[in-house]
This record gives sequence, C-alpha cells and structure tokens, in this order.
Amino acid sequence: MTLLHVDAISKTYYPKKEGLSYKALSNFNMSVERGEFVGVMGPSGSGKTTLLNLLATIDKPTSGTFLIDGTDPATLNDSQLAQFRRRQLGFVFQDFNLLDTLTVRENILLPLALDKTSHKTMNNRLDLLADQLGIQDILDKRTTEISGGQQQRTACARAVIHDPKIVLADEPTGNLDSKSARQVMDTMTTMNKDEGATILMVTHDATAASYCDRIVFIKDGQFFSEIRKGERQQTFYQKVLDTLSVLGGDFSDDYKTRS
Amino acid sequence: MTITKLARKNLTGHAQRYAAYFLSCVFAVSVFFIYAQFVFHPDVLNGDIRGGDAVRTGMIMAQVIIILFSIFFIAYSNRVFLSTRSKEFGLLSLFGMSKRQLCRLVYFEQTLISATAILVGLGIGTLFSKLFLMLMSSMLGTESPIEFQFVLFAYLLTALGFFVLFQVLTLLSFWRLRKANIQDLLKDARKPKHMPKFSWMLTILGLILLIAGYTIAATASIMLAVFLIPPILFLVVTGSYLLFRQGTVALYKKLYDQPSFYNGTNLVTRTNILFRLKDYANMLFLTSTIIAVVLTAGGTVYLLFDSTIRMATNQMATTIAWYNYDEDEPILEKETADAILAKHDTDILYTIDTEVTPIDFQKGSLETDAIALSESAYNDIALDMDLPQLNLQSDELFVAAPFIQNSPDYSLKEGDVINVYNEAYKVYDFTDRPILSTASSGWIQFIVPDETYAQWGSVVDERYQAYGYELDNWKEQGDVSNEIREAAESGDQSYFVQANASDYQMVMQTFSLTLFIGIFVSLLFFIVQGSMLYLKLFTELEDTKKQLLSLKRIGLTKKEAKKILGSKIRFLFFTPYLVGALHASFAFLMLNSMLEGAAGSMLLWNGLLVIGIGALLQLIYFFITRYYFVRAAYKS
Ligand SMILES: Nc1ncnc2c1ncn2[C@@H]1O[C@H](COP(=O)(O)OP(=O)(O)OP(=O)(O)O)[C@@H](O)[C@H]1O
Ligand SMILES: [Mg+2]
Repeated sequence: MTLLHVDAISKTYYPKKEGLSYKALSNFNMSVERGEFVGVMGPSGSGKTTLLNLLATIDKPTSGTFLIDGTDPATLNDSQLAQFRRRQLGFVFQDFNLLDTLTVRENILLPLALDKTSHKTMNNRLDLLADQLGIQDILDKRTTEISGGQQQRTACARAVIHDPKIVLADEPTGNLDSKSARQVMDTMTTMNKDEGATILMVTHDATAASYCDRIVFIKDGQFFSEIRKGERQQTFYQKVLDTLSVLGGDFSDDYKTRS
Repeated sequence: MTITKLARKNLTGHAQRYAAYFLSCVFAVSVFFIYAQFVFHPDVLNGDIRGGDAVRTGMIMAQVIIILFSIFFIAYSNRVFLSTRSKEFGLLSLFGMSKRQLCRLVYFEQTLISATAILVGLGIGTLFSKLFLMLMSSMLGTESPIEFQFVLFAYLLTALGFFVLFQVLTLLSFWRLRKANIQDLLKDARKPKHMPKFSWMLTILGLILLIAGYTIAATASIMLAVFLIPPILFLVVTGSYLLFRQGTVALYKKLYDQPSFYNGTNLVTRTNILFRLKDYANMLFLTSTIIAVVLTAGGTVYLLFDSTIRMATNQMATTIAWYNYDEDEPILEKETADAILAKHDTDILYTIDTEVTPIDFQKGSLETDAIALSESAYNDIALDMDLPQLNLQSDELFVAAPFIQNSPDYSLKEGDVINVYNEAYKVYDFTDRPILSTASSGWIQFIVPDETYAQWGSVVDERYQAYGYELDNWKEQGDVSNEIREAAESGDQSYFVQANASDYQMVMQTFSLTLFIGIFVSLLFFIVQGSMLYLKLFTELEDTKKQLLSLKRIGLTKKEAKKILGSKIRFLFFTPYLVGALHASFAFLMLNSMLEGAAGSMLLWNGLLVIGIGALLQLIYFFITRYYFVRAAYKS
C-alpha cells in the first residue's frame, strides 16, 4: 500500500535580491510503500535536502503535489501543518536537533508532551523503545554529556516515539564516525523492522545506504535511477557503488549551475 | 591589513552583533547622564525642597545606586559581548594572530565603541531630559519647577567617568584574554548548562533572614524604628539574595516532579528557566531591590503630598466660602462674586446663601465659640451637597467640625452633652465634613432645630450671612478663585474668603519640586530595571532562535512558540516585581508604625495605588518587550 505519493513536484529558488533563479528540483516523482526503508542518494547539490524539506512540510513546492497517507499538506494552514508535522512525521537531522536544556528522556518524550499524552502511555512507549534501541543507560543524561552517535540514536527514538506515518532522515550519519554510524543504522533498521516505521533517508554514505530496501538516485534535481536490495547486502552495496560511479564519482564537485 | 583597519572592519562588518552591546552602553550612559544633569542642576541644588534633608539623602542614595548600576551593567554587557566573540578570537589566534595583536584589536574596538557610545548617550540623555521636563510640567499641571539647562558639569562627569570605566574594563578583559588558550576560546563559551545545584541550608537561611526582617519591620515601634532600619535592610537584602540564588532553583526543581511537567510546552518553558536561573539570580535580585526602593520612595513621597493636599482642601465646605460679619461692612458682596464668576463663564454647581448665628458654648470646663445653623436651612443645603436630611429632637444638635480632632483639648462626639446659654444639649451625631466656611467661629458648626435656633437668636444679637459656591471641576478654578479673593475687602487677610482651588494651587507649587524629584527618580529607576531585563533577554536572542528553529522543525505551532517565549519573559518581569512589592509593603507597614498609625487607611490606599501603578507600568513594559522579542526571534 502506498504511503507517500509524490507527483511531479518542482522547486525553484528565487533569489531575494536580483540574480538568477535556480531550479533545484524538477518534475520529481516517487512513491514509498508502507513499512519500506528507502534511501535517496545523489551528488552534492542535486536536490536531496530540497526534496526532504518539501516532504517535511518545512518548505513548499513551486509546483506539483504529494500525498502522505492520503493527506495533501498543501491544504493545511500553518498551525494545522505544525500539528501534522509533529503527529504524522518523524525527523532525524544531520545536526541531531536536540534541545540542550533537556535530558535524553525529555528530548525523546517532547513530541508526546507537546500533544499532552497521558503519563502512562508516555512511559510505556519510552520503556519499550529505549529497550529496543539500547539507550536505557543514558536516559537521564544531558545531551552535552553523550557522544554524537548516542545523540543521533536519541534523535531516532524521538522520531518514532509518537508512531509517525513516516520518518524523514537527512544524512543521519553525516556527522558521525563509522562505528557510531553503524550503530545509528542498526537503530534505524530496528525502527523499520521491529517498529514497522516507514523511513525515507537521504545519505551520502554507501554503507549506510546498503541498509535500505531500495535506493532512489537523483541527479540535477531529476530522477536518475533506482535499485532494489536483492538477497544479499553485499551485492546491493556493490550495485550502489556502481551507480554512484556512473553518476559521477566525486559527489561534492558535481555542481552545475543552471538557470 | 593593520590592526586599526581590522578593528574598523570588524565594527562595520558584524553590525548586528555589536548593536546589542553598543545599545547597552548608550543606555547606561544616558541614564547616568540624565540623573547627573538633574542632581547638579542649579534649581535642584539651590531649590526649596519639602522634607529637605530626607529627600536629599534619598537623592544621594539614588546616586550611589546609579553609579553601582552603571558599573555593574557595563561590566556585565562587556563580559557577555566578549564571551560571544571568544570563538572569533580563537580563530584569529589559530590563524597566527599573537595575543598582543589580539589585545590591540580589542583595545581599538572597545575605545571606538565606548567613545561613540558616550557621545550618543550624551545626545540622547540631553534629548530625554528636555522631554522629561515637558512631560512633568504637563503632569503636575504647573510650570515645571526646573528649567531646562545644559549642565556642563554633568557632561564632563559623565564623559570622563565612563571613559575611565570603559578603559578599566578593557584592561581587565586583556587579563582574561591572556590567560585563555586557543582551545578555551574556540569552545562555545556559553555552551555548558549544567543542572544547577542548590543547598537547602542556604535556602532556609534566606527564608529565615527574610521573615526576620519582615517581622521586625512590621512590629517596630516608633522609638526604635530609626535604629532598626539598617539591620532590617541587611536581613531583607541578604535574605532575598539567598532566596534568589537558592530558593528559585529549589522551586523550579520541585516543578520537575510535578505531573504537569510533561504537559504541553511546560517541559520546554520550565527547563529554559531552570537552566538559566544561576545566570538570572543576580539580575533578579538587583531588579527586585530597585523595584522595592522605587515603590517605597514613590509611596512615601506620594503619601506626604496626598496628606498635605487633603489637609489643605478636603476640610473645606465648598470651592469658595465666606461670611459677611456685618451688613454695612461686608467682606465681599455676593454680587461682586457673581459678577466675577459670570465674567469667567464658570459653571456653578450650587450656591449657598444663608443666615447663621455666632454662639458660645461650654463642654465641661471648656468654653469656646461656634456658629449655629437652623435645621431647615441645613436641609436645603444638604439636598445640594448630597448629605442626609436631618430631623432633630428639640434637645439635640448635629456637629460639623473638621479641625476638632487636631485640637486635643476639645473633643466632640456622638452622645456628648454640651451647654449653650444654660441649657443642655446632646450631640446627635458628628461629622468632619463642614457645611459652611470654617473661618473664625465657623471652625465648629452646630445644626439645631428651628425652635432652638430662634431661641438662641433671641439671646444673641449678631447675625452672619454665610455664602458658598461649589464650582464644577474645582481644581481648575484657581484663576477665578484668586480674583474673588482679591476682590474681598479683607485687605491682606484673604483667609476670610476660603478658596479651595487657590490653596490647592499653592500646595501644588510648593510641593512640585519634591514631587518632581520623587517621580523623576522613581521613573528613571523603573526604566532602568525594565531595560536591564530587556537587554538581558536580547543577549539570549541567538540561543532562543536556535531553540525555536529546532522546535519548529519537529512541529511546534507559532502559538506554542509564543507561549514558550512569553512564559520566560513573564518570569523575568514579574518575579522581581512581586518580590519588590512585598518588600515595599513591609516598608509601608513600618512607615505606618513610625507615623503612629496617623496615616492609617490612607497609607494602605496610597501604598496599593503606587504598587498598582507600578504593576501596570511593568505590564506595559512586559507587553512591549514580548512583542519585540517574539518578532526578533522569528526574524531569520
Ligand atoms: N534556500 C535556497 N536558496 C537558493 N538556492 C538553494 C537554496 N537551498 C538550496 N539551494 C540550491 O539548490 C540546490 C540543491 O540543494 P540541496 O540542498 O537540495 O542539495 P543536496 O542534494 O542536499 O546537497 P548536499 O548533498 O550537499 O547536501 C543547490 O544547488 C543549492 O545551491
Ligand atoms: Mg543536503
């Protein structure tokens, strides 16, 4: 069953003063099934963050529509949108996006607290999740007292605590060393397999990508290709690397300007 | 690039970051200057101040507070400013800038900022002094007691004082800069926010000190009051300092265990405050002390003023009142007064024109004079004055005597028996609201049944004619009143014609300088405390923006964001106000016992009024701050 359906969305950035407008995303289509773990890859500047920001309803598309579980966010007003974001979506950001005045526990419970969920539900949910994600020991620590990997796993727990329709992750391992990155990817897999969370993740890292069920490649703001995980993770990893080299090996320098 | 060039480029480049610091400096300079301009003003130095020494002592104390405030405020802003920039300094050292060069950079920058701030501060201060004088004279309804002048000494003192202050602070900051290594500098200086600790011992000690201070204040006798003030101040100030440092943390930690903690935005609002409490404590303590001083001083000056005005005006019958003692030699013809009133187009609410008889009476061994008014004449007047109608028994009389409480030898109250021309009469009731002029025999006024009046009239030959005018909007009728007074035949004994408005004007004028000082100092300090809170908030703007962005990304509505910001601002503005008002209330209690309860309920109402007005001003300040802060936090 299709959970996310993206229909020909485009995004053009218009400069504030004068200058050339920039089409970061054009006629992009994709769909995500319920329970799927989808990766999005592409060279730097290809429009991945742009896509994710549109889906996250933080930004609005210039044209085209998308539906999340049948709801078109374009029909909601600002306050409804904020409510939608915090009830139906979960987020994991490259910079963790945790509040440093809160403990790990408080950070995770924040979305539930904002919605005034009952204590019992909150604690039950937290206990279960902390157990699954292996973060019981740090629950009462402050975010300044834990490592980057632990911070990102905290962010992951926060992203799923309220049972969102879909979790959007933008380079969740971008700031982490390979060991922490692996831990975070294990966490994401647990979220996907045990929690049944649908995840859409942008990443640069082929290892991280190999945890996904399917990968969508994007280039110059357009759909490029797509590969599915077969039987073995190793062959999948190899296929990812192949596609990336076709896309143009050095991501960060693949930076073309158009108008 | 030379260091000077770099400093200049730094200044113009990061305009926004410097703006907050620069404005703080300008603000402190302006406040200090406005006060100095006022204290060293020739009209104030040589002027006639009611309550002379006390007010002057108060002004010196205010001066000390202003100086302390300036130093504290500038030092604080300076530290915050340099710490927000420590990262930049770290980078510069990393790129090979020596400590020496860094110090020179800071020196040039600070000197440039401070020199500009002093100039701008003096300009703004001059402008506001002028505006303030204009505001005051319109508020007092009289000529401002102080002329606007350029007080040279104030300019010199401000410029020199602040220049030295800035230089000293800059040199001190070098010392800090030299000690720090690159890694320290690179670390985000304001990052670590540990869970604040507190001690129960100190919290309880603070509470005990405060309660002790309050108890002594509330129960002090007049004899001891003056000696008790220093220990009370010590107890209250130390107690509230401890409570702000420790008690607030204890209180907020308590909120952690509340079930409501995980309810809506509480999680964010409470921790936001909790983690900054140690940082806030000093400032809250300072602002609450300022508020207490402002409210106490304001309340006391106002009480002084109010009671004098009341004494001068409330004990009069009508706006204008007099007796003509002799038909052939009238003090003032009624026609003359009518003509003057007509000329001025004055609205007259009602007039009194009635005959009274001067009498003598005895009470016990005392003998004095009074005037008698017949019941029927009184009842006519009572209709206009909105007083109850009388229906006296033949041996009863009704007494109106405003001044009698002031003369302890005489006392007349309900049920007393007095003797008039060898007959005994009973006092039916007593009021301090006079019916007719209180001049000469009129200081005591008897209302008696018409038969009694006729009976006394047969004993006494003399008759007075009593006149009275109640004018609409009486406070504004000074000119008419003065003209009527001058028209009276009494020569320089204007006392024979009582004129409320003239007396009111006179009191206002003699009191205006004292009142001016009171309002001036109160307002200035009020603005100082509010602005401290305002600027403090704006130093947190960057952190706040970051937090809001984080929350917005996970779906915080704008309404909730406003709630989060609002609750913090509310905390900062109203906690010190509440504490300050509490301090002031006990100060009023003490004042009451010093006045032997003479001020009584008036003190209560005046106190409440001053606290209420202050609360209203603080509320306005809060709304303005919230508006600008929310707007700034939302601007990306
Ligand atoms: N707010 C904006 N205004 C103008 N142009 C923008 C804006 N945001 C992104 N762009 C441009 O749109 C293009 C796509 O940006 P986007 O951030 O989506 O890339 P990305 O695929 O996430 O890159 P990376 O892998 O480096 O994160 C880039 O060329 C970028 O310069
Ligand atoms: Mg990106």
